[in-house]
Amino acid sequence: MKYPITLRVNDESFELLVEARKPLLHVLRDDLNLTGARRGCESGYCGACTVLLDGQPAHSCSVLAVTAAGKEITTIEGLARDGQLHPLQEAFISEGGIQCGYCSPGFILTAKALLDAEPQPDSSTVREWLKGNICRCTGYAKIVSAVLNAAEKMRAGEGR
Amino acid sequence: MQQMQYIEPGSLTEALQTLSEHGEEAKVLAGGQSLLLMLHLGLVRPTVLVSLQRLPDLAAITYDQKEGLRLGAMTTQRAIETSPLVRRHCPMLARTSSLIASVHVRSLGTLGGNLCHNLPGADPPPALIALDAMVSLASKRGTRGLAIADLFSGFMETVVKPDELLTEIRIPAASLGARAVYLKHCVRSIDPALVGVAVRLTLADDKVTCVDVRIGVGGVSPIPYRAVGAEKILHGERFSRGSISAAAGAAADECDPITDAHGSARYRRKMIEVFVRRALTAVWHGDGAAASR
Repeated sequence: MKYPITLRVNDESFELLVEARKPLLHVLRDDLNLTGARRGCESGYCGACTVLLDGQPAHSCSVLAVTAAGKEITTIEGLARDGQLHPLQEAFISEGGIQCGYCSPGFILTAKALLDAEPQPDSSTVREWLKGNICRCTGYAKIVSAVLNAAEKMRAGEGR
Repeated sequence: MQQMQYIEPGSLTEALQTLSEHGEEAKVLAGGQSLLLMLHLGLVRPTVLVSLQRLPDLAAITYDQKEGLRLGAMTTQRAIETSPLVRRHCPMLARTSSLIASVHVRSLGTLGGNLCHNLPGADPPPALIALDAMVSLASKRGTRGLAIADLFSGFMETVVKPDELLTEIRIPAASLGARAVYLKHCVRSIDPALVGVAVRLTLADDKVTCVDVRIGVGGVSPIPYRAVGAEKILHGERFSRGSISAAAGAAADECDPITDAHGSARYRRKMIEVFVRRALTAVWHGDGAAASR
């Protein structure tokens, strides 16, 4: 059955009519054209579909759109402000933490949730948080240093 | 595709009413971290999905000196992992939660949902078995209490009836404050446990004689269980390398391991011996956290 819901995505409200069984991932991609959340394993493992739900990382393949109504959803499209990339996005580029790019939105969003909760993480904490994201180019070392660099810049007051 | 209705009851009474009306046609949706995967794969085909997300009372964590710890079924793994109450009174359970999958899964996945799916390799069941936890199953017919080990009935099966709802998990005060440890063996750290061993130990005043011990095992067989044979060897005995090895050997003897993509039965039997030995040693020395993994 279909249900009318209001989704809050990147500070905007969207009125939608969605099938109860439809995962948030498919609604974001197919109905809202927000393709930054990627289709990967679709079984809550690889993290390519990561979005933030009320600030916490979640696999959007493993969340129903109907249950996400009323929550604040953040996708990678919501990070840049006034054409200015988020410090994490900048750091992923400058550190070479981005290769084919397929996993990057998921990694960046998970890292954002981490830095919002813990502005000064050590590298083992970063690794612990990023466990739910898989990079098949296996560029993990650069991803971790990108997160640590972004954390340092954000603490120094450069960017958000 | 089959139509599926979605219901979000606003009270426990309403939730139990909905479940009693729809029976086997309905599935309870907690955090969705097990159910939605099964739903997308077509392993379950409910015509009604009953979401518990509007029942915040079910997500409470409370502590009482006499009653012990109470965890609502909708408590997320992340909430357990970070709860000051759980960390203070039952650090082993907080640590167990922290070892589940990833922060993504733990932020949504609930303790009740985890228990009701009885997925092989789940971490909380062995920990709760070692803690002598009880669960409450509510329905319109009334509420019944159950020892946690009696909840699991088969591969991905539990004794929860279609009209019942697991509402609460209780850890008795007597289980808190004891030496306790949970060790998990898995291939990748986000995997379920190949072998998960939880031990709770009460030593006599001499610090070597075992007054009481509980060993919970998960991941090895379709049903998490108490390693009773291994416990028996230690009961009333002095802790030593010898008695620990004997108990670990008994745990390997008494297990009925499965083979799956993560590991063979033979490997699981070897690993349970190793991990029971490590867990007993860690709990004996009282350095549970340091010995983990």
